[in-house]
Amino acid sequence: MIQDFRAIEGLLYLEARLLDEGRLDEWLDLFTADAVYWIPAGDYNIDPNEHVSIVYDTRRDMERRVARLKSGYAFAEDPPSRTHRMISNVEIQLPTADGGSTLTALTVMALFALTKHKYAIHSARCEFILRYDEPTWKIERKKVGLLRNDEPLEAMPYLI
Amino acid sequence: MSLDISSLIRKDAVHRSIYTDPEIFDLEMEQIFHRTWVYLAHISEIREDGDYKTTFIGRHPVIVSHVADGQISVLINRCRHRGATVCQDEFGNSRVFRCVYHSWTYANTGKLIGVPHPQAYGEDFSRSELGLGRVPRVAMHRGFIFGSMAAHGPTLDEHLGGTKKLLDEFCEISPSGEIEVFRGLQKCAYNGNWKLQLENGVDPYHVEFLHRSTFTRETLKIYNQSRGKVIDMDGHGVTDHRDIGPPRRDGLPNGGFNVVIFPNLILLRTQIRTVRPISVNRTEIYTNVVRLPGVEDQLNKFRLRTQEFEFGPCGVVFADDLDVFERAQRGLQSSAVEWLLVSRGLDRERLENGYLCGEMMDETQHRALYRKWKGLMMQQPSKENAA
Repeated sequence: MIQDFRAIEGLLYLEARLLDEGRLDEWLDLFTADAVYWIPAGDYNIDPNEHVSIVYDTRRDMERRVARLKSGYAFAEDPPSRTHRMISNVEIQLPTADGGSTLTALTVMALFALTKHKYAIHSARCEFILRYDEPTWKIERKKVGLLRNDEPLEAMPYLI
Repeated sequence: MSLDISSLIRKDAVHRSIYTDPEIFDLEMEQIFHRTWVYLAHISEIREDGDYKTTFIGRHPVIVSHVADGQISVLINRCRHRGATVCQDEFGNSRVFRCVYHSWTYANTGKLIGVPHPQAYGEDFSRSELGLGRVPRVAMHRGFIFGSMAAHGPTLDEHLGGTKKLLDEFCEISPSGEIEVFRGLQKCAYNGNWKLQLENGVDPYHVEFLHRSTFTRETLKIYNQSRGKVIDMDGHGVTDHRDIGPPRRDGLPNGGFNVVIFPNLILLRTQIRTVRPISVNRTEIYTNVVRLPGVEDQLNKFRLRTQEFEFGPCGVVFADDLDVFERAQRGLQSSAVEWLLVSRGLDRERLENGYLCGEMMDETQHRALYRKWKGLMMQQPSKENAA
């Protein structure tokens, strides 16, 4: 039990650190092939098929985003933003005894970003749906509930 | 007036101060945003009786209400007693707006219907004269609602000119001829002048360079072909790719047109983009995603997902636009170089159907916007009295 908790918490920290360090291919590897990366707009609880989101990416979209950031022509990220992500308030709902293969992890993220000398702070309640994919847990869905998701936002060209 | 506006716009160039001078921004608010037709809302955002949306006309906070049966009222969101806003939400449904401060209450027609302890006012206290301020002219075309703070002046039809037909065409790709918007907005901001976004809304020249990380060679062909054109359409800016095909239901860029309806509305692909000037060096952009009622869900979902991927603050296209607006604003702080070039294609413009046209990567459409800008900025100041 404790080992499971530590492994999952470690995955959440690793996910944040890979983004901070710009290790985007390794970041992609943390996700399942059918993953969704979602940043709702306007509110935390919206129907993404009826309401606009800030980001609603399939795995394929995530790959395109990463390829663009690595292309040398993503000018808003030239030079790349530097970021620190603090992950806190980790709550993990372990799968039930009847063998559910996914679990939910809730976190609070503080994201500090320095983009071309502009300093921005974002906070978000995040929800991860994780799936056990022998031999590790992988991210099936990452939902980022930005506190400022209904405000006009300056460019956030980095992955959140 | 201390500003010599006419000297700031040349045939081939515009002066940097129109992007950087706070005094010019103040004059733009008075002469442009507080006079001409400003886009406010799409009817599908306030579909039901009592629905409202709050937004701005220049510096005026306004409430756009669907009073009943298609009747729209646009009211100044400011209590007549002590000035507080009476409506706080961006979207909602209410037939009354109550100021929480002293509980003055107004109908969504603007009428003052409640004043607590009224006996303190004298005999000349007139409720009928103390309704919420009213935007004098409101008009709608194909569900696009516009307001004008000027009681007199060109009609909306006259203001739209040829772009009225483009609004029609934008809607007519829907099987019913009507469009609606998905709920919610993409909201962006940048530290730069509002006109940088207007120019960029009709700028085929930049696409293959600034957006080369996103667009494929195939897509870029439409911008590099010679049959498309750019148009000065009654002072609004148009880039016209309809030689390839009409606006596409899937929202992809090969076909259709981009249009900037001066001063704050941009239509392109799946978007209704609204430009909100905050100050000379701060701008907000609110964008709706258009849904086509009656087409299959998959297609509408594709429109939504594509726009989310490319636009908004994390958009793979728009993040670079927002960045370049800020680069421009920084560069324009230098007075060592006074002029910005808008001269592309100046010597090869031609008249077609009464409109000045240029080739695809010319700047006729930008010169259109500055022709309009100059005309409005130099009109006689308004003598209309405020309430």
